[in-house]
Amino acid sequence: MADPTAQATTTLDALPIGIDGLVVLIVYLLGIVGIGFWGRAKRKEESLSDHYLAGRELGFFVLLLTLFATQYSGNTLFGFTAKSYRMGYAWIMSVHAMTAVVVGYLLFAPALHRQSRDRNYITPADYLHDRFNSRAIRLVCALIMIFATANYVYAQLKVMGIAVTGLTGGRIDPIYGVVGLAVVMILYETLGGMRSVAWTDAIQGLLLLLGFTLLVILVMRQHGTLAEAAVHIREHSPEKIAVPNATRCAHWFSMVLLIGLGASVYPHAIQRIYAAKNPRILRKSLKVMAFFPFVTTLIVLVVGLIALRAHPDLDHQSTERLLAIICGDLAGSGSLGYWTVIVILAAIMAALMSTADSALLSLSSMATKDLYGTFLNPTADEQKLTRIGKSVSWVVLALLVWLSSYEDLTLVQLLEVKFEVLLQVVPAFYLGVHLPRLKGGPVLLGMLVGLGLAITLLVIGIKTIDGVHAGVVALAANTITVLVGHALGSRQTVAAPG
Amino acid sequence: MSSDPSPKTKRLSIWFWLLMGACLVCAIPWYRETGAQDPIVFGMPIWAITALVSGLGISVLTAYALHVVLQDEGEDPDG
Repeated sequence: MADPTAQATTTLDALPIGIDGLVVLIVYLLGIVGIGFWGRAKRKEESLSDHYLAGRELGFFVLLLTLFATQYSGNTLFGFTAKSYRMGYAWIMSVHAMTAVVVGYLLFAPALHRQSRDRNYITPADYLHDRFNSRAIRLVCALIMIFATANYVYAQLKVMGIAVTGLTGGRIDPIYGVVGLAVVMILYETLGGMRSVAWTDAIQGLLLLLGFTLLVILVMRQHGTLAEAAVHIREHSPEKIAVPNATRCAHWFSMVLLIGLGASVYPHAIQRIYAAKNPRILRKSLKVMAFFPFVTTLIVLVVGLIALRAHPDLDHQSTERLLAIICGDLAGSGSLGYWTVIVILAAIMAALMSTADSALLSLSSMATKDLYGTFLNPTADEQKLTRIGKSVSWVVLALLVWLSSYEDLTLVQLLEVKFEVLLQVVPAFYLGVHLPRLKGGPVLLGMLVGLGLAITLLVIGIKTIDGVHAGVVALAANTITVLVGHALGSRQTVAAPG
Repeated sequence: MSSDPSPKTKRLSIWFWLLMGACLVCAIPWYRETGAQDPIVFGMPIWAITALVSGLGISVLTAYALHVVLQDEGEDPDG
C-alpha cells in the first residue's frame, strides 16, 4: 500500500493553478476591498450602531446571506469533509446540528430582536446587563464570548493557511496566505464596519452556494456517484455505513445540542439579529436558513463519502486536507474542472473571510463596549469607542495571525473546544427571554458552575462522557443550577411577608 | 435598567408538537440494532435516509413555526 501522506502531497503538488486563475482570484479580492470603500461611503455617522450593526437596516437578501456565510465557515468545508471521510454516514449529525441552530433562533431570536430595538443593544452582553441589571453577568458573558470568537477567528486563519498552501500546490507558505487574506479582511472591515462585512458576506454567500453545487456535481462526474461509493464503503469500511452504536448515537445527540445551541448564541449571529431591519425580515431569513443544511452540510457529507472510494487509506492528518486533494483532482480534469476549482477556491476564501470578519467585528465590539466602555472608561463617547474598536480589530488580528503558525489541533477539535465554553451563556439568553421573573443571581451562579465544570473536564482530559461532550454535561449542570436557584428565589418571594 | 422579557407568541397546536416529537425521535437511529447493514437506496442506507427525512421534517416545522406563530403584535405586515 502506498504511503497516504506521500499520495496527498503528490496530489497537492500537481495542482495546476495558473496565472489566469490567480488573476481572477486577485480581482475578486480587490473587489471585496472595493465593497469596503462603498461601505465607508454609505456610513451615516461615527457611532457604534452604524459601525457594528449597519444602522440596524439589513434587508432580507443581505441578512439571509450574511447569516448563511457567517454560519458556514472554513470548518464546514474543510473540517466537515474530513469528518465525513473519517466517520462515514453517521456524520449526518452535522446536517441535524446546522438545522438545530435555526431551531435555537426560533426559541429566542424574535423576542431578542424586539428588545434590542427598544433598548438600543449593540453587543449580546448589553441584553444580559439590561435584563438582569448585573455588571458581573456582562463581564463573564463578554469574556466567554471574546474567548469563543477569538478561537473562531484563529480556526479560520489556520484554514486559510491550509487552503492557500494546498490549493497552490505548496508554492505559497501558509503564513503568507494567512497574512494576505487577513489584510484584505481587516481593510474592508475597518473601512465600512458591519455594512461592508454584511455586503461582502452576501456576495460570498452566493459564491459559497455556487461552489457547493459545482463541487458535488464535478466530484460525482469524476469519482462516481454516491451509490458506487456506498458499495465500496460497505465492502472496505462496513462500520462507516452500518447503524451506529449507542455511544455514537449519544455523541450525535450531544453534537446537535453542542452546535445547535452554541452557534445560535454566537455573538456575531446575535448582532445580525439586532441588525435586521424589522421582525418580518428576520423571520423570513430564518425560514430560508432552516433549509440550508440540505444544500450545504449534506453536500459536504456526500463529497467526503465519495472521497472514501476515490482516495482510500488517507491518514488522520491527510484527511484535514481532503478538500484540497479533491480540488487537485478536479483541476487536472480539463478546463471545466479547472475553472470550477477557481470558483471553489474563491468560495473557500469567501467562507473563511466571511466567518472570520464577522467574528472579528463582534470581538472588537465586545472588547470595546463590554470591557473598555463599561469598566475602564465609562465616560468615553461613541466616536472614541468606535475608533478604539477599529484599533482593537487590528491588534487582535495581528496576534491571532502570529498564533496561527503554532498549535496542532485538528479543525473540528478547535470548533468543539470553542462550543464547550460558549454553551455556558445559553441559559442566560434562552431562560432570560422566557422566564420574566428570573433573577441575575442564579444565572451568574449557573454560568460560573457550567464554565468551571467545562474547563475542569477539559483540563483533566475528559472530552466526552459516554459520547456526550463535556460542554453539554456542564450546560446541564448550569441549567439545573439556574432553575433550582430560580425556584428557591420564587419560593422565598412568595413566603416573604407583605 | 430593566426590560420586558416576555415575547408575544401564539400557541402551537398539539399536532405540531406530535410531529416535531416524531421527527426528533426518528432523527437519531438509537432505536436500531447496532451494526445492522441496511439496504442502500440512492447511495444511502435506510437508517440514514430516515435520519435525513426526519431532519427535513424538523426544518419544515421550524419554518412553519416562524411563519405562523411568532407574529409580534403591532408588526407592520408589509415589513
